[in-house]
Amino acid sequence: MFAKIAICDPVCIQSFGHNLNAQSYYRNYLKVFCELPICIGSKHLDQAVAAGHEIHRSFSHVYNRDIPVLDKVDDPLFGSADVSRDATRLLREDLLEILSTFSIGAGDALFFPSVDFWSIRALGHMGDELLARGNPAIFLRFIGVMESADQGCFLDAMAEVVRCVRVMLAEGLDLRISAETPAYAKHLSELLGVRVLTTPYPEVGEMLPATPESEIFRVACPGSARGDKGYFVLRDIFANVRLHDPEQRIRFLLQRLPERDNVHHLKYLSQLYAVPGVSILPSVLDKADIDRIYLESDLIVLPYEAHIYKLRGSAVTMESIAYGRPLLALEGTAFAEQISDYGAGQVCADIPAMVDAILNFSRTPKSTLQENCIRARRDFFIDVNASYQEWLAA
Amino acid sequence: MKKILFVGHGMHTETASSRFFEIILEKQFQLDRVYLPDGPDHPFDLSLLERARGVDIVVLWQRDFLAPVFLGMGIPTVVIPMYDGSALFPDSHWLFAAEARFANFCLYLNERIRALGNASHILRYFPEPVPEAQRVRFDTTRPIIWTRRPNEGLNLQLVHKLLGSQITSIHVHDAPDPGVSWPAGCPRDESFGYTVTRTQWGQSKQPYLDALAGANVYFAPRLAEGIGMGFLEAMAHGMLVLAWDLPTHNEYVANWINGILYDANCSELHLPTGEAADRLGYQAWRTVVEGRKNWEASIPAILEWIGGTPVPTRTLPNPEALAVEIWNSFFAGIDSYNAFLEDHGDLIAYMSGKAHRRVTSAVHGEIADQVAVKSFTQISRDEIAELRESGRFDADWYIRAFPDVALLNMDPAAHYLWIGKHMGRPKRATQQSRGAAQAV
Repeated sequence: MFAKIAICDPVCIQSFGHNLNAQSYYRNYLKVFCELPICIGSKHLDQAVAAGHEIHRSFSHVYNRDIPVLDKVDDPLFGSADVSRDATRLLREDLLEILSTFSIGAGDALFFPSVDFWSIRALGHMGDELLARGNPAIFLRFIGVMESADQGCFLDAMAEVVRCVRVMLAEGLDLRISAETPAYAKHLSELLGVRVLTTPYPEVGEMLPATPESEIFRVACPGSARGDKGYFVLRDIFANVRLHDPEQRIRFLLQRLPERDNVHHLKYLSQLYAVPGVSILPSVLDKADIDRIYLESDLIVLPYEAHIYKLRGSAVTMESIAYGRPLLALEGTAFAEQISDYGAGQVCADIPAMVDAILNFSRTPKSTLQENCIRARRDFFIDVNASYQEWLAA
Repeated sequence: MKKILFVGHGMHTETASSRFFEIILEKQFQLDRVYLPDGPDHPFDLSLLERARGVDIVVLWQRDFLAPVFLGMGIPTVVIPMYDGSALFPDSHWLFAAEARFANFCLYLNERIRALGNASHILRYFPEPVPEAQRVRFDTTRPIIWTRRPNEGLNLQLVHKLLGSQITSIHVHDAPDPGVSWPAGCPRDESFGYTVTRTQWGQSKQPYLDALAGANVYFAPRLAEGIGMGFLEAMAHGMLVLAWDLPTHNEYVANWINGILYDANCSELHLPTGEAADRLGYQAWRTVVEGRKNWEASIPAILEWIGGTPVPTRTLPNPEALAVEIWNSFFAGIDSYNAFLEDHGDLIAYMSGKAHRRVTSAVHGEIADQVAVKSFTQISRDEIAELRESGRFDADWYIRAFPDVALLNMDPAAHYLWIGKHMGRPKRATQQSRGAAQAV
């Protein structure tokens, strides 16, 4: 049991999204493994949101080029002649401040739920300070999003990540690495030459009640508001389902693109809108709206692009399993393996297969779908909990 | 009960196309109605503004260009634009009404207006569907076209191009819209080898209605629609709708699911018949069945949206002058109206709360800078007097250099303090200011 675990995420800056959710998930889950979990996000996270989620605002925003939320005058890297030096320095200073402010030392841990490039680099340049502070454990969870966000400073960002990890190991730091999906864990293990465990999200919520038996079958695509998440194949999926469902029993729910992208794809949006039985929600929803989507949906469909999600997991997958909603995904995505292994839904070879799967699921009694989800959920979290037990052993 | 001034289009006294919405409004509001005829033969009736002062909310049905006038009077304003009338207006047209609430029957307009930062609510109207037993059948193919806009190419020549010999007969309702002439090179009476039955407007609409009742393939008669009552009624009867691929057709018709869309690139269409046509017709009818339920369920939210329209904060000292100017420029043609908008960038900047440069280069989705401009009512007499007496402000030069000051009928010193200084306008003519005045 650790005394304190500092849950660190410099990218937790927006008032929505998986970074914010992850802070809450881990604060609750890590109570089993420590006496005091401490959530730490960006200095620029909205004050009210931070207070509501009990997040300390400590990290400089060194990713404004990727996540442009600051004006130029507030961007600490604006005009920097050496982004690599300055970003590393800033996060190093932030981490040292955190170590000091929260008295993180021996018997404590730094926990990065979705580790980012500049944090890894900063850690790779503060071995002496960490050892002087009693060598707190460092947990780096890789999810395939920001760990290579080097803003073009390196020819090969992951090579630099590997170098920093090797430096930390060589310095004798208590470094423990995991990845969100089995495929990514295997890949990192080969890359880093260390054991990498698989750690999807822990149990993020209770199993939801089954949707009531009714004529209507609701299919949702939460978080669909991006091209790589299959936004641009949804029309074909919905239209083809509709051709085979003239009674319009099957209804669809999706989220449109963010405003800056939406205005460039209004024709496509109209085509989606015109398909009978399609409801379109904004690109950003609050937690209550997202919870309602899960509560009211019978099936979650994730036509994510396989080549982009070859190693990456999906927060929606983990949430759907936790809430007890069956999933459809395309072959080749890393989370498809999880869906298949635990019987959490069906993996489809292509879009036509996905269309067939939707129709088949819509004809399956909801009680049967619920039984399958209960079983999948149980098996999934037996393995997830075992993984965390091993990874977080003090 | 709040009182609404409903400002509609003069032609709706004949078509009654806004009547269904007025009935909805009457569920919750007391309605005062006025239907404005088109200028320029009908100058703007300033008594309308007096009527507006007596209500809680102004609702503009298709008269979106008048929104700044009522907003400038400090009256909560709802704008219900139509794609067919307003799609081509520039972003500055919508920014001019930034403090209004919009209710859009067209998704495309809704998204455009929202992207500019305006508050907009999408409406999705469906008529009552016929009972399933009365849904049209497809034992034979019985197309109908009302040649409302033959000048836009929607005529029998187009039908022949698309369908050729796939049909042998068609009903033509030969009734172009008022002011629309038959295009040269397209013979009006040519039958293209089809057996053509014809009707025209007479004393009764019944011949057309009878022909429509006997048809099962409906050619939507216009390139674009504001709502699309005609093709929606056709869908409600389970007809196979063929429509041009523009709003609002393409927001209700999913191509080859519940209708067929075509455009200028389409050289021919394989018209489904029999069972295949019936499938499309059934989906059209089913779309209206489900859509009607959703429309009726959405009415309370629509009324709440309209009832909650906020009071505008950016008012004008002389909305009457603006009303006349806008009306005249609008009905002088699209070029004249666009020129009016370009000439009044500073006024639009003020009304929209966005920086002048953002108005003139409005880009979708960008967060515009806010200009902290006081309402003109907050400019004190002491401030105006101090400026005049300072010797640094040349009122005569200012009013000559910036014609919008005269438009607003304002004291030039008051105008400078209210908005001119925020626009970077100089107080008097200097070597640099002569150039600056020419630039703005």
